[in-house]
This record gives sequence, C-alpha cells and structure tokens, in this order.
Amino acid sequence: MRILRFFITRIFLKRWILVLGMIILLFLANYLSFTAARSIISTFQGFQQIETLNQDGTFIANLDPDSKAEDETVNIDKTRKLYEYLHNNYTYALQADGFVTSLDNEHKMEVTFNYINEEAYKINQLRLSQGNHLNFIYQLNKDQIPVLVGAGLAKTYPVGSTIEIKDPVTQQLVNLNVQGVLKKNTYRSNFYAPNSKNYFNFSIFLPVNEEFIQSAGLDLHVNGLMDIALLDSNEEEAMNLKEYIQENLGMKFNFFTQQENVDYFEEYYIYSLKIICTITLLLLLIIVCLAIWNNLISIRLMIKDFTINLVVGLSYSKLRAIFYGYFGLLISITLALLFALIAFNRYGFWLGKANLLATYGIFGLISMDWIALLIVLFIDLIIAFTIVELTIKKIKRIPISVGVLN
Amino acid sequence: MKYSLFRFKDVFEAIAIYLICFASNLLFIYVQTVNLEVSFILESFIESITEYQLIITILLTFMIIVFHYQFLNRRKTEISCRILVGDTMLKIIIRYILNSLAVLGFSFLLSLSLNFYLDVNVTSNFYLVFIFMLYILSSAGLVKKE
Amino acid sequence: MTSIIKLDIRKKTFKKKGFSILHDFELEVEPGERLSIIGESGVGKTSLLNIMGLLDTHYQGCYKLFGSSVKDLSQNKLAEWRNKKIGFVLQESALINSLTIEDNIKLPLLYANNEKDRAVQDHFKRIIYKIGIEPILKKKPLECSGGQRSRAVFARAVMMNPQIILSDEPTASLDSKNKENIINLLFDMNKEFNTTVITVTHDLDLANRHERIITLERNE
Repeated sequence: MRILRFFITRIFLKRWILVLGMIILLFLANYLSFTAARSIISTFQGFQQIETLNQDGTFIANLDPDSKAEDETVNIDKTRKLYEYLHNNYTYALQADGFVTSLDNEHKMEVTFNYINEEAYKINQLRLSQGNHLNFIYQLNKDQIPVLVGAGLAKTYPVGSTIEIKDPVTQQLVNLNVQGVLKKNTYRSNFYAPNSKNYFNFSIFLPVNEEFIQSAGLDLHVNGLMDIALLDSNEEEAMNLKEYIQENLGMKFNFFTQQENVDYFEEYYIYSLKIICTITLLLLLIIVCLAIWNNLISIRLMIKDFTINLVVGLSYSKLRAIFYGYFGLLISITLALLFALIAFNRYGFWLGKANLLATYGIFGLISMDWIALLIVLFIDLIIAFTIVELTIKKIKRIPISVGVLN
Repeated sequence: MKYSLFRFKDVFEAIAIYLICFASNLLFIYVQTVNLEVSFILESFIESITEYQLIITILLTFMIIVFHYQFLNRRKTEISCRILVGDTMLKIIIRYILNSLAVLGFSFLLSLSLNFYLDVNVTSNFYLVFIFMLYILSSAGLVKKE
Repeated sequence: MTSIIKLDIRKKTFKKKGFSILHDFELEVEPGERLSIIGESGVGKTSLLNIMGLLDTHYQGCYKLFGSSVKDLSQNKLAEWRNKKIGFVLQESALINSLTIEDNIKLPLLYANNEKDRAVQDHFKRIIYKIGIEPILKKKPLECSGGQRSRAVFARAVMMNPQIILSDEPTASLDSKNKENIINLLFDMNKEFNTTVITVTHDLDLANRHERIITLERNE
C-alpha cells in the first residue's frame, strides 16, 4: 500500500495530464458499455414481459402503419358498439394508461390512471406490497371503486382510504377505495419498444368492467384498442374483428399470431441488439486502443522512474501489482463518476416530476442499472488486464540500464 | 523534417488522434440524420449517446492535449541540444506551432473525404479545428528545454 | 576464502543488434575485494555489470552469487537482493528528477519496508553527514550540481549497507575534487564494512587504485 501510494503521488500524479487522459478514456468506455448493457437488459426485461402475453391463441392488435384514423368516422356510439361486440363475442385483455390527473400527494407528482380489465389483470400478475388484489364487480355510480395505488402514493393514500376524484375518462365524480399498494418500481414495457418502460409508482390502477367501458369516453375506447389482445381465439375470429373495426371505425388493425410475433421479435430485436453490440464493440475497441496508447506514452515518459525503482529493489511482480492498484483506483473513480451521472439522470425524473419515470432505489437507481454497472465493472477489469499486461511487457522489454539513463 | 521536432511516428500519432476526433464528430451528426424509426431500441440507444455529443467529442479532444504534452516532454533534451548548436527558443516555438498547424490542416483535409462520403456539411468540424488550434497555441508554452 | 561472485558465461547475445559479447568469460570475486573492469567501449563492461547486478539474466552460462545460481532465483528474490545486498553507483543522471534528493536516497527503504526504523533513520543521518549532502536534501536533482548528484547516487547505493557495490563510471563527469571524494567514499565503505567494490571505468588512474584490474577485450 505504501509503495502504491508512493507511485501514485510521486510518479503518476506528477504527470496528471496523462492520468486525467486515462480517466476520460475509461469514463467514455464505461458510459458506452453502460448504455449498451442497460439497453440490452431493458429489452430483455421487456421481452420477458411480452412473452407472458404472447401465448398460443392470443392475437395482439397493432394499428397498421398505413391506416388513417379519420376523426369524423370514429365517434363514441361506434366505439361503444364495438366494445359491446367485443364483450359478446371475445375474451380480451385491455389495458390503457397515460391518463394524467392532479391528485395531492407528498411528492407533488401528477398521477396517472391505468385502466385494466380482468383478463389483462390476470395476465399481468401485478405484485403488491400491501393490501389485496382488485375485484371487478362493482357498480359505477353506487359502489366505491376498488383501486391499487403505486408505491409513491401509499403514504398519502394508504390501504383502506378513499379518494374522491373526477375520473378522466368517464368525467364522473367517482369514489375510489384503496385496496392495495403496488410493489415499488412496478413497470410495463411498451409492446413494440420493449426497452422503454412506464413505472407505476405514481399510478392508480382502476379495474374496468363492461359497465365502466360503456360509460367511458372516446379516449379510453380508442387508446384501449391500440394494445388490445384477443385471448383463446383463432385466426378466423381475429379476421372477423379486423373487418368489423375497419367497417365501423375505418381503422385498419392487424392481429398477429403468436408465431408472427415471435418471428417479428426475433428479426427486429435481435437485429437491433446485434447492431448495438457491434457499435459498442467497435467504439470500445477504439477507446481501448487510445487508452493503450495513452499508457504506453506514460511509460515513455516515466521509464526512468520505473527502472530506478527496479534497480533499488522493486520487482516486476510488485510493479504489476502497482499498476493493477493504480487501475483499480482509476476504475473506482470512473465508476463513481458514472454512478453520479446515472443518479443525476434518475433523480432528475423526480425533480422534473416525470411521474411515469420516477423510480425508487439509491438515488433512483433500479436493478437494471446495478446489473449494467456490474457488467461495466467486468468490462473494466478486462480493459485493465489488457493494458497492465501490455505495459509490463513493454517495461520488461526495455533494459534497466537503458531506462535508468533515459 | 530537418528543423522540425516532429518525427514520422509523431505525425502519424497526431493524425490518427485528429481523425478519431473528426470522425466521431461526423458520425454523431450523421446518425442523427439517419431514419431509425424502424428500430426504436436502436434509436433510443443512439439517442442516449448523441445526447452527450458535444461533451463526448470535447473529452475525446483531450487526447490531443495528451499528445502535445508527452511530445514536448520527450523533446526537452532535443530542444536543449538544438539551442546548444545555434537554434533559438523563439524559432523552435514558431516552427513547432507551424508544424502542428500543418498536421492539423492535413488531418482536417483528410477528414473532409468522410464529410463527402457521409454527405455531412463541411463546416461541421470547424469548431473542432478551432479548439485544436487553441490547444496548439497553449501547448507552445510547454516548449521548454531540459 | 569462498567467492561471493562466481561467473562462468558462455556468451551474451543481442539478438536484435545481431552480435554477442563476453565469450567464455570467467570471473571469481572474493568478499571485500576491490576490482576494476576496463576495456574499450562496446566490449561489454556495462553488460557485465548488469549481469552481476542481477539486472540482466538473459545470457548463456552460469552465475553464482553468494553460492546460489542466479537463474534459479525468482524475480522477487532478485529484486530483494538488489535491494539489500547490492548497491549501484551509476552516473549522476541516475536520479528521479521529480523526487527530492532525500526521497531519492531513501528510495531503497520503500522496498525494504523499514523506512521508519530508528536504526535506519540513524544510518541515513550518518551517511548524509559523512557524504556532506545535508544542505541539498530538500532540493530536486536538477537544482544540484553534478558533484552533488553523484554523491546522492552514492548515498542511495550505500543506504542499505550492501555487501557489493557496483559502480559504472562513477566519476565520469566530475572534476578532480569531486572525483576524489567519490573514490574515497567507495574505498572507505570497502575498508569499514568489508564491502566488495566492482568498478567499471575508462579511467586508468581510478582503475589502478583497485586491488585487481581485469581488461575486457573485443572478440574478433
């Protein structure tokens, strides 16, 4: 430790520009690998979530990119009729979120309503930290509506409390009864962009039944349709629905089978992930080459210092240990910087009151951040190993007598 | 090269670093013009990098400071020797600045081929050239003898 | 008396430069002996010193130091012996310019891990008093004269009380007064502690003041 301290304070830091150069390069390598690792982990998490929905007999709706939603052809009567048709002929999962409303809470965040029907609720298997699961049997204008709240609302609205609020989709004053609290950082991945997620720490999950749907406005009807999934169905039924929607609403929807979805995911995700990995590897390679160059020029400048130490009793194995210690320190610094940057981003969602992105954790860091940081650490170790071994090889190739008189 | 402090290896190293900086800046600009909407995953990955484009590019330019620093440190003995045999510090500094600017100019011209290839505006790298010129001028203060 | 250095070198080859030196070279050195090595430039004087000083182990042949074959010693052991048993008096430029003279002299203590020992501190004080470099301890090498730097190099070499001192042109760039100083310091160590002194030099005057002189000749 004493020797390491001596080398760092008396030899390396004397040429602080080179140390700073190395920190910058390591930081760039870390940021790049972190971004790539988190993209991959997030995509993988999203993919896992999608897989629970993408089963045999399930057909997931997808608005055709060429379809034009003509406002005049879509009205509330038509969508009500559509949902009635759906109710009578299909088993379907409906979940629609993003309906923002103002509701007092200790973090002063806006609150998002998330409407979910029983089938979607069964598939999602939301985990609770307190209370009980939702029930879907209630009468809209008579009963209190049982709801789940996100972890961020649990203090203001504990289990058993009631919330009186104007529901954004029915525009009616409703009485909500908090039935349970969602686990922290409960999320939902976007179906066709699995690396993007909405976190429900400031959401209210409201169960929707047929009565509710019929009372709801156009927003929920159209929004719900975008991600609707037919369950226990077949291709013929899916085609019928497609034609029905096209005839009545003038919107073209595609209903893809499980196999079609799997094929699409494999082609699209794997292709994207392959490109991300290739870009990351190429950039990492360039950065590592620069880092090696930076270290080799440090050797050029410090060779006399190293070799004089070798003359008076430093062994190559100790020198190797010194370099590993030095890189351990540099890696710690860059990881701390990276941590600060991620924390700043995550905490920024809290400061910016981004209710669908604010997460719980140390400075808002969530599991995928920690896993990505671990991967970064692993990559750092490989980089450090490469640079240190090349450096020692280089130093060994310089005769001590030549180095001393450098 | 007779009067220059630069050897072929130094010129090569400097050009390589300049090109890395110019190319990364151009690629950042280029990927923002490419339509990546077909792949949301790729788009958000690229976005998370290009969001910090300026910071990343400027951090990369620090490698040029490293280059000049180590170069002038290694040339201290040579500078002493040149002064011993009749050169002057002022002349050495002027030659150093001119040579460095020549290397920068050559690298910039080389990088223009990438501009044309990627169809990116030729002025995109001007701010980097300006930064590098500042580096060269300030590094002239490091021209010292042993 | 048993030899502390027993060299039997077949040859030392420089592959890149394409030549070899020290063909069938044999040498034995007794403890406390004063030996000088002379010869024209390029015959291998410094290479021989590097081999004897455990800085170079790439040669054909056998080298026994204190009865142990050097090639059987680990790199760590070689470093330990360089630290404790061998002192190097190299040219005055062999100092770290970014460290003070005191730090340069105390450098071997870092690896012996006894920097704070009372006895070591006393030994350090004795050396700097004897060598007369007290006033420059806080200075950096480039702020000192050639003679002062040479004395600092010498102080560093004897800091660990080595059994062997290897010196390479120790007086090459010194005036006659400083030259005399260094020679006296070397020989005092030899007399006081029975230290073996091996000096590589071009200076015949200096060589003649040793007990034994060996001349290296170029292999034709």
